[in-house]
Amino acid sequence: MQDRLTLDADPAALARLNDWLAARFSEAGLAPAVAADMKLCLNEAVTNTICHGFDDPAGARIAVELQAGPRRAVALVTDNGRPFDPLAAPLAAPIESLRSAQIGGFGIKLMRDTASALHYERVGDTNRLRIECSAD
Amino acid sequence: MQISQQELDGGVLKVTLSGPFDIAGAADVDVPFSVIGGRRDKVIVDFSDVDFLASIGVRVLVKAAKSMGNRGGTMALFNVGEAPRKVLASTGVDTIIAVTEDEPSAIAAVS
Repeated sequence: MQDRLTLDADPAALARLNDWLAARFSEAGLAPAVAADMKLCLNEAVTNTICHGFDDPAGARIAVELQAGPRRAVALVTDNGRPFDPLAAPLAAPIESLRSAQIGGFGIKLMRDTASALHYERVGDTNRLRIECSAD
Repeated sequence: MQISQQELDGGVLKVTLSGPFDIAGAADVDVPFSVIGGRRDKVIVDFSDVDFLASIGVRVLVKAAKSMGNRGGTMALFNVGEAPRKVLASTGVDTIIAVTEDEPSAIAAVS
């Protein structure tokens, strides 16, 4: 099976991503808890790129590469959208009450809380986000 | 994502969700949840068949809960699996939407 998946900047791409991930995780025998963490991180990263990365989705290039073993998975998400560093992005304010709670802005915090390690760099016109999830 | 609704005693509305609460799932249930949030004040949500919750799904829940809360209403979730429960805790949403063990507990939380 290919270890690289290319996606359109379209919400339907998430279903393709998740089907591909399920097969890759099964193939690798990845621990279910680690698989769940990686699935969440990749959904947040790709959703963010699709929703906010492009003025014109026609020229979008999004790719996900995955290496996985039984206890650890590492993904690289690349896209040619506008520069966006999820490690530098401000987090939504902590929830204090139902009345004051923001409706959105949870995705970046979820990625940061869930991944074992995140690394971002901008290379040329490409965002490169490395996500590691591990049972250790 | 599938959504069904059932009227219970005491004016409680039971909403049952089935499927991944991802970008596509959120699109499927955003309008029904907006209607529920605007009209109902005692809502329990069965998460038994939701094994994946992304931030875009959290957004749908919070938007409906805030709309209900503005009218004094309450929403509670029940039968929430480990992965969605972790997301609700990480975002802090479990402090503003009750996450309960089972249907009777959820009914008690909104009544």
